[in-house]
Amino acid sequence: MKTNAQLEAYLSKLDRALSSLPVSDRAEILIEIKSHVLSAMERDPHQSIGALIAALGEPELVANKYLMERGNAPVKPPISPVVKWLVMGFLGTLALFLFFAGTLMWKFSPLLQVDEKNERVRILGGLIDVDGKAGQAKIGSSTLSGSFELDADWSDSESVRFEGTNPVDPTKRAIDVRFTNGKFEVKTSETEKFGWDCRSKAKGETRPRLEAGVLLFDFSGMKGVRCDLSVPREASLLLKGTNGNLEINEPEFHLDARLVNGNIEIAPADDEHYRVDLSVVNGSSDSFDSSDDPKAYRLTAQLTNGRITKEK
Amino acid sequence: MLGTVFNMIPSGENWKTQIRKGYIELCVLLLIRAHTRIYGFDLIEKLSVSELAVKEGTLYPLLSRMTTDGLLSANWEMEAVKGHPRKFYSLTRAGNRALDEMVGEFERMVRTFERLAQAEKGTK
Repeated sequence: MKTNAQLEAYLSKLDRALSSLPVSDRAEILIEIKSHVLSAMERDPHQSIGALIAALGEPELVANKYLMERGNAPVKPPISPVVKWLVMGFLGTLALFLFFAGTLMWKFSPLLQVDEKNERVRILGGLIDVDGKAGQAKIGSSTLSGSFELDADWSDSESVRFEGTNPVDPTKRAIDVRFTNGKFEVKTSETEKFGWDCRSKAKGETRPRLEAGVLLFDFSGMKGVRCDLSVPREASLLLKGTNGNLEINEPEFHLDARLVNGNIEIAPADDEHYRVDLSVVNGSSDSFDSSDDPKAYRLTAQLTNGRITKEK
Repeated sequence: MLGTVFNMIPSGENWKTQIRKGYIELCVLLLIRAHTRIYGFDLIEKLSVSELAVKEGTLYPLLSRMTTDGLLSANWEMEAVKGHPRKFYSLTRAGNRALDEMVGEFERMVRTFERLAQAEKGTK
């Protein structure tokens, strides 16, 4: 049964390829080809029908030989199965790629969404979600590093307040502030001392220490901190951390802010010039006037996931 | 050895195809005349025994064309025991005349070739 089906399928293709010949000629050709296969099977019953048909050649090629022997135009040769599979494979891969690319674009759009009113930054369609009011920063379904509070009520009895001042090294005049979660409002100090007025949900307090001429203030171990910092004129301040909100008011000092997840607000002093160097990854920035004056204060910020705003 | 030489000629395969075409036609007619009547499958086997392999897809279109040209006559016959029809070919009068001319022409060609080959050997 299978033998006949294979043979009939072959003869059917051959018949189609010979369609330009008269019906009687086609019938004679098909009967003769069938007779050939049956004769071959009689001679060797163990021979497979597939092998016999393969020996005949592709039906379109056989038909072309009949047509060309009679001076007729050949039919279009069949596409090689290898080429056919290559084309199908290419088109299939392309379709899959476009499908996944479309899904990713749909899933992760818009790429960046900044909601200043609600202190929220959503990146890649919410894959990274920095929520200032809720006090959370998330990547996917995982919270990054606990919670942080930016504008919470710090005056309640549960928070711990600590404040103080510390002179900076007169030569280096460098201050290094590290944090994990927090909000910092920074202004220019009226004195030659670095000042801080902080509240923290954590018990205990931290104090600055001088290391190799640098005044180091490390808030990394504190769960949420809010500080007002005062920086002496001409000093250099490094503010480095994750999940935060930085407000820099009329700086008359050199600033180097490096933040991952959050916002940086800078209010330049009207009568000062700055050498501005800002870089943002996954976010946006207002434009600032930059001076070439080598004596101008350096205003450097590197922000990942968030927005740099110019306050007037 | 000959195959290697052909592969060295850019159009070697094409040359072989051209020369084989007329040669196969001649041999097929010779075989049919030798057996008076013969069917396709049998013809392929006999060609193969004579070390002239011809594919089915080449022979049947050739037989069909020579029948159309009036060189061959074809008759369907039912085999007594197995019961499937077979198409037997025999030479027509025109086919016999054509074959005589073809044989004569081929023999002349062979003689010419042998003379040229001999002369070439003499120059070496």
